[in-house]
Amino acid sequence: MKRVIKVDDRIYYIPAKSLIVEIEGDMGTVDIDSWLLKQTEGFHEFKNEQSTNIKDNQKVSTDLTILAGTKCNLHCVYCYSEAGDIPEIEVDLSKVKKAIQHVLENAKIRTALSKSNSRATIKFTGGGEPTCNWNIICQSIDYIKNISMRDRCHLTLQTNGQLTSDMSDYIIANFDEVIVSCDGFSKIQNLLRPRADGEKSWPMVDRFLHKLNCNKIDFFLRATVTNDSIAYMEQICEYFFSKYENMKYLHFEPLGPGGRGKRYATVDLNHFYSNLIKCEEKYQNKVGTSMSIYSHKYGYCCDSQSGRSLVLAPTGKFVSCVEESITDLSGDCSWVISEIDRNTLVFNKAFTSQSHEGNECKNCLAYNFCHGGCPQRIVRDGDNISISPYGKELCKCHKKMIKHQMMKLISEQLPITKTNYDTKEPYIVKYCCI
Amino acid sequence: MLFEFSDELVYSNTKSLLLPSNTDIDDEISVSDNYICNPKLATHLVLVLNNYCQLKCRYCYSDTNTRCECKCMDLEIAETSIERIFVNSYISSRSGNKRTPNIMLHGGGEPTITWQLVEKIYDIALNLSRKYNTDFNISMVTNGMLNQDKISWIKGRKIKLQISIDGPKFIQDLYRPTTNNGSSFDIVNKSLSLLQENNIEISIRITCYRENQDALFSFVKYVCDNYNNCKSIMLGMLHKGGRGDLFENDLDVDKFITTIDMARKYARKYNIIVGGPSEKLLATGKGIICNACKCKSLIVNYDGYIINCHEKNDSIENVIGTINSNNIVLNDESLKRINNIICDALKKDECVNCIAYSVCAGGCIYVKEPVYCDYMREKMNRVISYYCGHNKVIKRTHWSEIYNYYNHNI
Repeated sequence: MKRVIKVDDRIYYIPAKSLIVEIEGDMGTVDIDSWLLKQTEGFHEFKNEQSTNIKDNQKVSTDLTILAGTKCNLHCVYCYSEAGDIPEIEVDLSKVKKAIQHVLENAKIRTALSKSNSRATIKFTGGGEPTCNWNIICQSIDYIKNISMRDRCHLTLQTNGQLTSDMSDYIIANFDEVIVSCDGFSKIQNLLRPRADGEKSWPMVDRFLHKLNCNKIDFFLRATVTNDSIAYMEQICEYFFSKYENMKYLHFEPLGPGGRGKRYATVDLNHFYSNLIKCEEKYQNKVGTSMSIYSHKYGYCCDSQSGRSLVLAPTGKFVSCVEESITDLSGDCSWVISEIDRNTLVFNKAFTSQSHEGNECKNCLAYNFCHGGCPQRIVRDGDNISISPYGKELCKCHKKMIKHQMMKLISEQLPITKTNYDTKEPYIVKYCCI
Repeated sequence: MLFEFSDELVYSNTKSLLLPSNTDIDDEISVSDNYICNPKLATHLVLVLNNYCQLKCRYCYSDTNTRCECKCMDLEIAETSIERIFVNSYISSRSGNKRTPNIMLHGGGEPTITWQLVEKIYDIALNLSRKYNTDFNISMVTNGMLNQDKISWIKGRKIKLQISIDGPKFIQDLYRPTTNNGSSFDIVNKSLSLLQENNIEISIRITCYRENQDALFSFVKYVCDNYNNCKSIMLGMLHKGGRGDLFENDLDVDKFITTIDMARKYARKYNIIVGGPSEKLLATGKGIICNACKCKSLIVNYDGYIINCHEKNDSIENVIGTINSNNIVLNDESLKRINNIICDALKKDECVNCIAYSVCAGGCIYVKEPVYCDYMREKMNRVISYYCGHNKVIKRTHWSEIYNYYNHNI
């Protein structure tokens, strides 16, 4: 990996120091790389702060994602889980309790070691829709309360918003964070995310968002972008931010190739990228996507891949990808990392990390933020030489996004005033730590 | 004054208490007639040894190296001052309230530039400690421009060192250059390594301003990772005074508080204490007036003047007496004038109506820095809001408990 990477004319990125600098003055024959490394002495360098060992990470994880079941009340055209077309499975509650115990124990240990209050993060999300397995949610929360550990948890729910009034009241009363999956206003939502019973899904989503807003509950929105919705990204932002003041963040994700998404046209990523930039310009950091300079990935493309987040699949096993949660049922066990057996994590011998770095990653300025990219989307061959066409486009798009964010960040910094140096010599006029 | 934090909670800036809003409380401020202590009775001594330095910091409060005359303290003055605090300590022990003599060698100027004087002062203190059969504490605030010889001398002695450094190389070299505009970072960084090799404990002081603000957290991590002899890191604010008057300190207060919190959390695993501006005041919440300002410490400068602020060491307005080889003579008129300034400061509307009054008691009487006031206000609001947000049942709670909770949990 190069120690100094040129971002643009006079702008450089030093990955190990997570630092971007802008230089002024005459650089002449100066060896910029060594000069920059010398000038930036005193900035902290990352030295294996976080373990990249998946097993170790799982053992000490305080972050749990529970995929409660495969059942769903929607029939999204692109569903990565192919919900509705696969058998309905519900996660075993005893497995859920053991997983909760595991992360809570780790949070307690971390609190004792770090001398500060560390909380476990427990998230219920889909692969299916978690609220279709309502008993799992309620009984898990009851369990947490019964063992007097509610204060030690940050509870998150990601839902499609197809909820009864009682359910939404319960969510408001019991969760710390709510993420609503919704692709846009009525026309888009109804088109891409119809209900399984054939009805429109928008009215119920709208009702739930309205309720969250009235109760002053902050929430995030996650919108999958397809070629049907890509042209409306700006309007989607405008619509939701103006209508729901408690909506704090809108996450756009281009459609991936999982499940029914394989059969659905993949999104024009250049178009996605340019529209996202427009949205970010208007709504700043209230809009974003999963590729960002602000999210460090600690050696893997995501926390599920690194084992920092335990993903409990409906099968009761911990998997390395939310979108590949039940592939073991069809014989592919390579995504299964481990499972809890008699209170011990037992690791799957057939597990192979799907994360790969391509040869092109070595000197890429996006490397620290993607670590080779999502293996479910950027599929490489065994030699890491050729990438799938979609993966190639996604990789290009990520690089552009990272570069754009770096340039924007450094442009926002105020220059350092400089009076007592010979101005002919190069000097650092702006800097920022990411 | 009472500050509302919700429909049910108020904070009293005179009592430093968070209370249910229906509590009856006497919230009047109480101001005394006299705040001034007698420096002749002090057991804490600050010696401002000289007025020159190897560095020419862009914001130096003493404006060093621009004056015609380089001054250095007479040894006799130092000796008289030191003996005074040992005698006071001895008297205090006889009355059953033992106070250990504390000596701080300060720059106003840079103490290590008059190294022989430092060595002699230490010997004097050591001899007096034997004579009066007492322990003593000695510390030195330095720019870290040390060498192997000085470090070897320090190694055998129990001098606490506070080293000032502003961050990574390009920042340190730009804002704390040597007098000929050379790099100071390389020398200070080498000193830090030598101090570590010699197992000499240090604390680090970082002056914070807008230009180094974004590097602070990374630099604290650098220090934590590389110097296991560092026991504390203090993040202070740039002050007005001297060349600091030419410097606009537009620190982003909100970001600064977040940086301190992150640094504190990171340093905790190394058992390194990180503190921000007025950390001791924030920790106690007693609204104590600065010990130097109220003459509780004996502060002596290179001219033999007794002063009540070591940062204003060349100003006639804060001279409160003189010291010579025999005696200390105080100027009653000056003490009276300073007392009046303190009393007036404690009654200022802008302070009495500020939430931070319970903690800072009006702050420094000489330099009123808006950025400091913003910092204290924002910090207190953030700490109390955090406490209220995480404690469902609020009882009558003192600020120190609230602050302790915040620091422990954030």
